[in-house]
Amino acid sequence: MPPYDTHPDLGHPEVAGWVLDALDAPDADAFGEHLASCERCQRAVAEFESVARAFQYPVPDDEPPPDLEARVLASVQHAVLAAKQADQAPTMQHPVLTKQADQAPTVTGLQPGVPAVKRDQESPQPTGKAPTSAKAPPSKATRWWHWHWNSRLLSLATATAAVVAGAIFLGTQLFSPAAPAAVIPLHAQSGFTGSGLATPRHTDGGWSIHLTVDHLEPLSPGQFYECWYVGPGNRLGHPDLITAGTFVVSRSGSGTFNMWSAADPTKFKVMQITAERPGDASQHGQVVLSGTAQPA
Amino acid sequence: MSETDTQGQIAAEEAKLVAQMASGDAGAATTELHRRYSRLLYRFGVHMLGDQGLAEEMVQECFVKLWRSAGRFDAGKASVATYLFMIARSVAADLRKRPSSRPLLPLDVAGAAAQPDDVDQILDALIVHEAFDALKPPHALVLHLAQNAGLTQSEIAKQLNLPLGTVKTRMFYGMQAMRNALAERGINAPV
Repeated sequence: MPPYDTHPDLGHPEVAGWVLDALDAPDADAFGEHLASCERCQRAVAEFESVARAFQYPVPDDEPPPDLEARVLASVQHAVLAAKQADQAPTMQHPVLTKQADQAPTVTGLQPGVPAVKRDQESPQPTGKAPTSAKAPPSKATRWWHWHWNSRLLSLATATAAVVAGAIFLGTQLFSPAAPAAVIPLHAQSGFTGSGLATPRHTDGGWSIHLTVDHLEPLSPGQFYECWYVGPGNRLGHPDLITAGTFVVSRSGSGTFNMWSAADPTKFKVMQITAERPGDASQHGQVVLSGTAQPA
Repeated sequence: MSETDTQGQIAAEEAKLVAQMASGDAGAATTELHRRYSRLLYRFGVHMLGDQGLAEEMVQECFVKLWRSAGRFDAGKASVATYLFMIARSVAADLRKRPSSRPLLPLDVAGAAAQPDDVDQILDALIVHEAFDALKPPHALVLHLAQNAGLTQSEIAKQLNLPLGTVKTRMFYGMQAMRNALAERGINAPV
């Protein structure tokens, strides 16, 4: 009987010393004899040997940089947004109002082949399964709609009021944002044309970037421009980049875009605009514009 | 709770995180999976690619690809760890093929970069070393003295002024913890 207790799962505690070749000679002899006839210890030795082999194998002990998590999240976020944009682009689900008898107007998605605005202008009276008198008052649910169709003046006034209210709302949203954290003038890199100006503003969800570009080269179909924040550690083979979004320009090469990013422009002071192709989320394209953040 | 239960719980938890990614809630799930796997992935990348910058790029791309394929992940066929490292192998292979990455590999490191046959061994080694880093210091010290200094158990006991039985127990539990880590991750489990 060996001079040690057995472990309920893995056999004798000597298994570890055995596979690490750390048993003293008398213990090794005794355990060797025991091992020859103990299936449980043989299984345990086999398991521990795979651990011991792996333990001997040299591995890098490098630690990932602290900002890697932010970059991973930004990459995934970028991919999510790109996928959403791609999903929305082909169908363009504009809501349209349809009007049916004795029902409130409903909003439906535009189906292929269906005109963008489906409304019965020639016959403003509701049409339904049961014909109704032209003079019959509309139900309570559709009374406002009735007014809309029967009083063009009121309709115009309502539409004007809606536009004014929308403009006021947008105005408050667009024209009274937080103060810019910096301004980033963007200059064309060697061999390229164009210029730009980026204005990042801090928001609750990160940073919004108002980007204006001029005279960029229109790109081939499928290509797009991408806006990047460049960290201080960025160099060839060691990317320290966070994307702020992608865009395309019209034939004039100019455009204004609003983008979002988690990158803090006070830390990622350099901005680059590259010309990219669809593929992975890395920066592969050539740098077209570049600039450094300056105090606002 | 038994060891199998713990492994099952981790697998279920991580499968849920991937399902969360597939359902559109990518942020929190990515953060949690990054916390669990970024170091392993990064070290795997450094070993495979011989370059820290490329390893960082590999980690980023792994999580983007995990998100893209999250809807196709089948927890009945593989653990998240297995799936993630399958992605990592593929991304690392792509990065190694990329012409722009080749000149960045230092010659001595590029020559020593792991061959595909070594991949399972690398992964096992990374997991075991990570488990070693997480051991209680007294357990880790005993294993270190046996593994790296080549001391026997009685020499370790003498050097640390401990009873021989304590050294045997610490060595056993240290090895067991690393074995459990390998079993929990299940990276090399058949797909």
